[in-house]
Amino acid sequence: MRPTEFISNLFTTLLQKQPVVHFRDAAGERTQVPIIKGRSLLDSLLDAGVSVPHSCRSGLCHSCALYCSNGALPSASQKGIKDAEKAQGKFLSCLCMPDTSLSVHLSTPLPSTRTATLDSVEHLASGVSILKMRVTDFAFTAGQFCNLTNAYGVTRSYSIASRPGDEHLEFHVRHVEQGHFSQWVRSQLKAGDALSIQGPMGNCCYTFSAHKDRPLLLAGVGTGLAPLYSIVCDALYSGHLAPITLVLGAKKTSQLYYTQALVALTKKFSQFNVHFCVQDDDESGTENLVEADLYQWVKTSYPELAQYTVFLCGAQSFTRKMQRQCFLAGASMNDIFHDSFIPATP
Amino acid sequence: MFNFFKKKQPETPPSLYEKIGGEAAVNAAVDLFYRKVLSDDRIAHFFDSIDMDSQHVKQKAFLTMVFGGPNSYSGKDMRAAHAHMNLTEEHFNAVAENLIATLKELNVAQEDIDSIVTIALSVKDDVLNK
Repeated sequence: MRPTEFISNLFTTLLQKQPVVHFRDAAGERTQVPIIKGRSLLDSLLDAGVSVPHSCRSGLCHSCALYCSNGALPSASQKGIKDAEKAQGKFLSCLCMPDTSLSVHLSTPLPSTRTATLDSVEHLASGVSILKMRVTDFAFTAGQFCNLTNAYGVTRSYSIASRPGDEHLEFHVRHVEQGHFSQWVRSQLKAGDALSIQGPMGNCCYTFSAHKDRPLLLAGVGTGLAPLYSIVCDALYSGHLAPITLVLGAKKTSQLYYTQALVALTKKFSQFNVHFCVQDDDESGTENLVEADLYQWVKTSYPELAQYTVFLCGAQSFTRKMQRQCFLAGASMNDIFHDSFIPATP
Repeated sequence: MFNFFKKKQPETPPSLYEKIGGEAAVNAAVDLFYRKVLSDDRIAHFFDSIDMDSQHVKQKAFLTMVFGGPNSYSGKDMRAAHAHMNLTEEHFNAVAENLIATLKELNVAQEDIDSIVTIALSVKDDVLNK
């Protein structure tokens, strides 16, 4: 926008006391557009020549979704948006008839970055390091993840394994051969070190108000346990009203971790159950263990999932296959939440 | 604001989309329909490596269109989206059968099913790239 245009727009705005929308596109370019009463925000933006992807204009296709960072969103504009995304300010511009000024963005506003001090790092025999760190005033929803950046500027995404409100933020770092981040964690990271942490992000979330009455099926492989552990603890300690089942898959028993803590939780909460599905039981003595194929076991044990809310976390090959299986077993698409872990390219 | 004037005009009969229940009908149908499509050996393989979340959104848009609802489906889009798939009559019929089975399961009236099938047939040439 040219400065003269900006000033004339500003004049119009001031004279009429008309609410405006401050729009920022993907490249960070800002535009200010007056809001016309009775007209959708999408139409107001399109009228002004702002390019916004859109299709059905009736709240179905979600292609005109924007994010609001400031201002009062009409609740009708968040119809059909998942809770975690609502919290990020996501709304449908075609359904948005604002009365007051708004600041909106084309893409998710990135959460702030801050420094965390590592309290402890523990390397488990199963090939996972447990990081516990302290960050003040950090609010998140169970199931979300953060970007961690080390002293060499290497950034990786890790799910939060602790429960909202816990003293520490906990992350599980799987040891990857020649992995820049995980090898640094294994060989150099020590208590007292600082890490840069950006978050929280992600929509594979448990919220007590939305899910409290639903039976939960959570399934994961590898460090997919991290977000599921946060969800299980949050649900149980919040007083979840329905049964909760966690199923963890691994090739070998020795690759599993937190088995004792999870079995202990089943003893403390009768509504909670855990099952470990392994192909090869190379360590005897693990309770709640079955030697079975994970997919087959879930299929036979949970043939009917229509009433369930499902959480799936781990490698993408796993989440995709399991999402399809659970959907075919009757779970509604809107009740299947998944977080796919994609390996970093070196 | 023009309601006052509108009232004087003769009432228009509800559209097909309004009649069968609008967005709620689409929401009720989409999972049933998508599940049938994924379980149909004639067409299931087209969906093997597809992102289910975005496919689910597309299924909703498709159902909204055939239910006579607000949509922006254009013949050009339909052609472009299906061109690389080498679809045949059999594939189109499979989708149509799953659609009809879904509607019957939801107890949609036969005359409305007929109207919906007519809309679905109207995109057949585009889908089959004829």
